[in-house]
Amino acid sequence: MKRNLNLSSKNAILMGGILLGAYLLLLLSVTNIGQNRLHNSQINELDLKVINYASSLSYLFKTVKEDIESVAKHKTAYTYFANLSSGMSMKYGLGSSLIQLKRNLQSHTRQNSTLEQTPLFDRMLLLGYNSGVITDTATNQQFSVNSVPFAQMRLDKQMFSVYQENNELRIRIMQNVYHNQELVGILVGYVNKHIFAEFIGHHEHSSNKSQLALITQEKPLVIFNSLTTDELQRAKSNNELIYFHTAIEQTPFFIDAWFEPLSAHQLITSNWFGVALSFLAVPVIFGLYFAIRISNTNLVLKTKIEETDKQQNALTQQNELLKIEIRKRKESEQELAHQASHDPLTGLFNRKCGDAGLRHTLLQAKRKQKNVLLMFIDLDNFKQINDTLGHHAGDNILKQTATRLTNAVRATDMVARIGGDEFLLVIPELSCEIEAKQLASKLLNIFEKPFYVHNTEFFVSTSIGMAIYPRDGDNAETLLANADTAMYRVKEQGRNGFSFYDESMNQGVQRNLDIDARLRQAVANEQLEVYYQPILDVLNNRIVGAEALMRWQDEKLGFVPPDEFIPIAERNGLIHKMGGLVLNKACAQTAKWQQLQPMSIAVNFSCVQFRQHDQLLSSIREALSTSGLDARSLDVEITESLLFSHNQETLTLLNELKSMGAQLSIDDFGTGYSALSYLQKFPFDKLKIDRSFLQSIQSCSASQELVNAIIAMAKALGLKVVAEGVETKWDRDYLLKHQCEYAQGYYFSRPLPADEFEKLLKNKST
Amino acid sequence: MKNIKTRLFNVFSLCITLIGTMNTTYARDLEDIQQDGRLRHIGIPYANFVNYINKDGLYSANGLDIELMEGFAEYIGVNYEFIPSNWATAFGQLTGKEAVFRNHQIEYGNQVGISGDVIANGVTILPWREELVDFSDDYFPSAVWLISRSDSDLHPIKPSDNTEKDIENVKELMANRNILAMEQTCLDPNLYDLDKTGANFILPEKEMKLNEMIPAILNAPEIANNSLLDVPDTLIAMEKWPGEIKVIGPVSNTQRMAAGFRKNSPKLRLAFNEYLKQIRRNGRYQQMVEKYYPSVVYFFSDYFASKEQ
Repeated sequence: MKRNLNLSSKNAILMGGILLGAYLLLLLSVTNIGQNRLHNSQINELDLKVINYASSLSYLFKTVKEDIESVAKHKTAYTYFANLSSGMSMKYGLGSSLIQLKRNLQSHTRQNSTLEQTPLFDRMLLLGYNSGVITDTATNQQFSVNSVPFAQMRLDKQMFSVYQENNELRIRIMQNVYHNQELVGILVGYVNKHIFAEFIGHHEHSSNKSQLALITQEKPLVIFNSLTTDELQRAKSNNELIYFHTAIEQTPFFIDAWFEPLSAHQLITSNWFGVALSFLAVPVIFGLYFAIRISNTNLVLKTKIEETDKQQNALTQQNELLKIEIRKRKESEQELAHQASHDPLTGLFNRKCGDAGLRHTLLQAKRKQKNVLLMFIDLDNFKQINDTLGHHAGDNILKQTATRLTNAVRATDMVARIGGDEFLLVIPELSCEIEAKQLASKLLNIFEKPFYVHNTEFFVSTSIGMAIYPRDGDNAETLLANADTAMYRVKEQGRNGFSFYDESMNQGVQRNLDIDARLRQAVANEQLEVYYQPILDVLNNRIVGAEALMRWQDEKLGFVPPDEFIPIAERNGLIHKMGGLVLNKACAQTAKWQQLQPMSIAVNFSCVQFRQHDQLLSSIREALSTSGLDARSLDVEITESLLFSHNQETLTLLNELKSMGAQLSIDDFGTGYSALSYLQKFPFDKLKIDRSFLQSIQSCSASQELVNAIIAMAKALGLKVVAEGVETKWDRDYLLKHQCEYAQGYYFSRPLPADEFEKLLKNKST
Repeated sequence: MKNIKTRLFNVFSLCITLIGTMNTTYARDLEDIQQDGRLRHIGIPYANFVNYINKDGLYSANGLDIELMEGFAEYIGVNYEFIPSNWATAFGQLTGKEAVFRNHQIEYGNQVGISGDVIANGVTILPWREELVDFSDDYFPSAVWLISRSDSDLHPIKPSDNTEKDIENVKELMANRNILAMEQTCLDPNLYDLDKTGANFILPEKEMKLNEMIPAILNAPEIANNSLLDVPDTLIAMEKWPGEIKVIGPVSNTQRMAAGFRKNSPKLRLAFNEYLKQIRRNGRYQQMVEKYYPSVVYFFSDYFASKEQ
């Protein structure tokens, strides 16, 4: 920036210098041209001046002629000659006329005092023609009558004559005077020589060297002269003067004029002017240089100040932005720190922070030799709530849960959310196990109050697993794993409770892990078998259908009951594949058996399978079409729990199956939530009474009443009833008595492999 | 009817007489005039002595005598007032008693009111006038000449050194000529014994001014080709009608003009004489004469030379 300014200032000086030089050159050129033109102009002007003088003198002589003519024709002249001709004597009358005449002549030779005009004539006299002087304004001066050319005057009315008198040039004009057209006299007017100088001489100035002369036939009459004789002679001989010779119109005279041209001392010559201008240029250039320099300095300073101001402003703005940025960053960091350590949804510590807090607490407990309680809390059925009501509802419940938990514990206790619906409570300085139980009971109690989401009331229970330091572990990992194990124990035991960890729990966990691994393998190797337990018409003991049941005989684990591996399959997702296998096998087998005995096949479907509605429907359709089994022969069994967590899609699926012709049965009725409204809402065909009712029916009248009520209700709703777990003839008879249509159980047949079931069919049919 | 007129005339005359008597007894000399603060100048329009016009809203009063009297009023320290008049009333206005000169004698008229203090209009000093007023020192010369139309067969006389002889020559030429003249003025033929010349003097029935004499002979030659005329009027006439008139010669000797004063105001007259001497000395008088009569000096050079001395 500074360099640019310097460059521009140099350029400015250079430009200024060039401009000034050009200006001076222009001035010199213009001066030179001007001087030439001035010289020409002077000649022209002088020429014009001389012409003007000649014109003026011509006018003057014309005036002289007119003036003397007017005198000749004046009344006084006429009166005089008239009175003279009438014979009047000078003594009596004529003298008066003569006086009047003379007075008139005198008026032309006297200066007019009023107008201060110099008279044209300085002497005027009247001559009688061919006689003497009649009157003369200058009686003291001589006049030679002989000098008047009387004869010539007869020819010319008016005439100029020049003669020398006392070595002085006189110009006079003679004018004829007529009376009654007869030449009676001649007026002689002596032209006042001062009139020339006054008329044109005063136009010249003595400082201007010049000479004006009226040229007559006698000799020149000098009108104006500011040249000495020597100057005039020298100049004339050297031809240094500007000379004009001009005729004066209507006179016999000329005017000669000599003028000195504009000389060096009158004109500023080019050289002198150039030197003066050059001298003038020096201070101007210096002035310009310093002006530009000062201007530049000012400009640089000004620019610097402006730049500084700008920078200051920019810095201020930058500072403001930085402050804002810092504030934002701090907030962001705080937020990030908070986010890093807290769960964004509930505001509780997150898993990482909870873990760190736990470790910290454990260190303190170790130092203080105190107990620490870990509580692993999981919401029961949260997954169903989340799936059916949506994540928003689930989030809402989580937030309410967090609030309830936080409010339930001490400020020194730590509450963290470590997973979807899993919470961790760390209670330092636990005094005894009883205190832990009290706290667990308190937590269970706070979940007895309903949750509200969109004005809908929900009840959510929790399963609480507890581990105590140092009894159940001396590090965080162990304690967390043990508390988790204890929590799962509660889940297994029916949820909504709490449990302390003990050693045996680890064994169950191990078996579950084994089952999980082996089951995957079994499914992959299709080692699972389908057994069929016949369903008979109670009235005639005829097989009307069968329930397909899954059986798994593992090489390592031995026989694993369905109650044990199906929940695991539901958790690890194998249920879908397993369900598909059973369905396909059952449908294919049943289709084959239709030739032996028309029958239906009941297949159990898990709630988990129903979560994937479309996939389930397509797999059923595929199974039916592959096997060629009539849809009416397929009995889809579902549990009450599905109905509890149902949604519109579930209802649609059930209606689809119904429209296909498949039958719908509600399994294990009476053990779950058994909402009677479901029976009306869903299109069920059958109702299967849970085996637990049949197990005590013979000894327990309450069971009998329940069974009776169920059968009565089913009848009322138009549902067929299937009783499960029929093991004795008493059972069979009771059912028959109470008009239960169908039954299954060991009394009739245990679940059989397909080939055995086929034999049974054949035997029955025979 | 005639009686009534006569009675009325008598009553009127009586009143005028009474007023005139009263005025006559009142001298009004220099002191009275100075006390009154005004000098009343009676002037009859004549040549360049008094030019007076008061007609159609135009008022002009100038001339040699007016300038002279204005100077006199200033000299005695009073305001100047011009009283226009004519020859029939002028003396009455000054003296309080009308008087005319008729048939070689003065005829007195009625007593009238005095309205002026001095008569001055180129008044020629004549014997009968001296009976009526006291004249100041004379201040202007004059004479009476015989003037003819230029086409008249009368030829101007050849002047001699003797004026009397010239007069005789002129009188000889006047025989049987119709000559215009005027009584009461200096042109009265009776003043110069012209009745013996055999000339036929024509006196205008209607009163004329002297400057009307030349137009009369120019316009009515059948009545008269010639006229008596005083020198001042002649000089003016020659300028006005150059070539139309000619001077034949003198009828009178040189006459003198002066201002006329009441006989009972001698101090005023003496004061005027003093004033006259003063302006003659200081050249003012000469300027006035040259202003109004530039050529008169030529004819009366002796008069002016003697007065200069």
